[in-house]
Amino acid sequence: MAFITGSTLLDAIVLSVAAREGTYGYKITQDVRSVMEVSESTLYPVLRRLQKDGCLTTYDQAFAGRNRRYYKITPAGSQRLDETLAEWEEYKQKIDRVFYGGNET
Amino acid sequence: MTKREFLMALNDELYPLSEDERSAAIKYYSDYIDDAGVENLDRVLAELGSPAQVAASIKADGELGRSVPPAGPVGGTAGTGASPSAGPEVRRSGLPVWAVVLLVVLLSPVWLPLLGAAAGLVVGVIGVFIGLICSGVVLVLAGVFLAVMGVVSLFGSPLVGLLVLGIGFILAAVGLLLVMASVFLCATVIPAMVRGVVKICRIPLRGRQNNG
Repeated sequence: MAFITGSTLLDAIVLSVAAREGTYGYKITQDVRSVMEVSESTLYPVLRRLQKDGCLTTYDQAFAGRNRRYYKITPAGSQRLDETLAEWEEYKQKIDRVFYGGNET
Repeated sequence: MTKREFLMALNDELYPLSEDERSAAIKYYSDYIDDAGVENLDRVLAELGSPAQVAASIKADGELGRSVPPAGPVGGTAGTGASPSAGPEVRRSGLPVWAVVLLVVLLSPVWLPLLGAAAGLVVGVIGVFIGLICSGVVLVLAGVFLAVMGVVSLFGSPLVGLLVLGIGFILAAVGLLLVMASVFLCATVIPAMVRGVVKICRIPLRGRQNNG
């Protein structure tokens, strides 16, 4: 991908993935990697930071004879995600206006 | 590299971090490798990079998270989300650098002799092992020599020859065992001791790097 992805966008993508259902590290990595190029070791620091910021919470659940750690979005995380989504919408419209012209408002 | 080796190496690399941080990271990567599947182990380990690189990514973000505020909208409501998290982080930072240096200098009468004693202990243990290995080698040589003597005297007096031959074999066997046992002990005990001493020396630094 030719676009630079800042930490705000990456955070929002991770939050968005975790917002749909409780999910785990490997799956989050696969989901994020399906839309953008990040190395496999990129996601852990992001998850840890979001957890410390109170945007994500973890719980352990038995899976295949072991305890797997799951990540779930918190109310604070949902709020941050909503804010980023609103900004994204605004940003996208501005860029679209430049790209495709249309009404100059 | 196996999963276990990777996680142990990662744990060592993360040493400056707190117990909490380390166990969280180890748990994450343990889950990750399990979820990727045994058959993908080599590919996943190759993609993740060396334990040192993975550890660096974890430590680097710890610093990033502190120095760079969340890049939210300037002003507005999002600003309130950032300030509560900044509070506890500032309080957590430990002693300033000059205090640590002062402490290290002032306490040198305590830790210098301790360090010396530890170094002496390590050298002493190495000496003991060298001694054990040497005596083992000498026993083997003596055994071989006796065995040769036994074979030679077999022609003169067969009974004495057999006796000497037997003793020679026993000596050689004992010597070999001694050498093997010493080498084994040497290989396990000395690295463990060195690691222990290094860990002790790192303790004063631990708090700081944790906050770094």
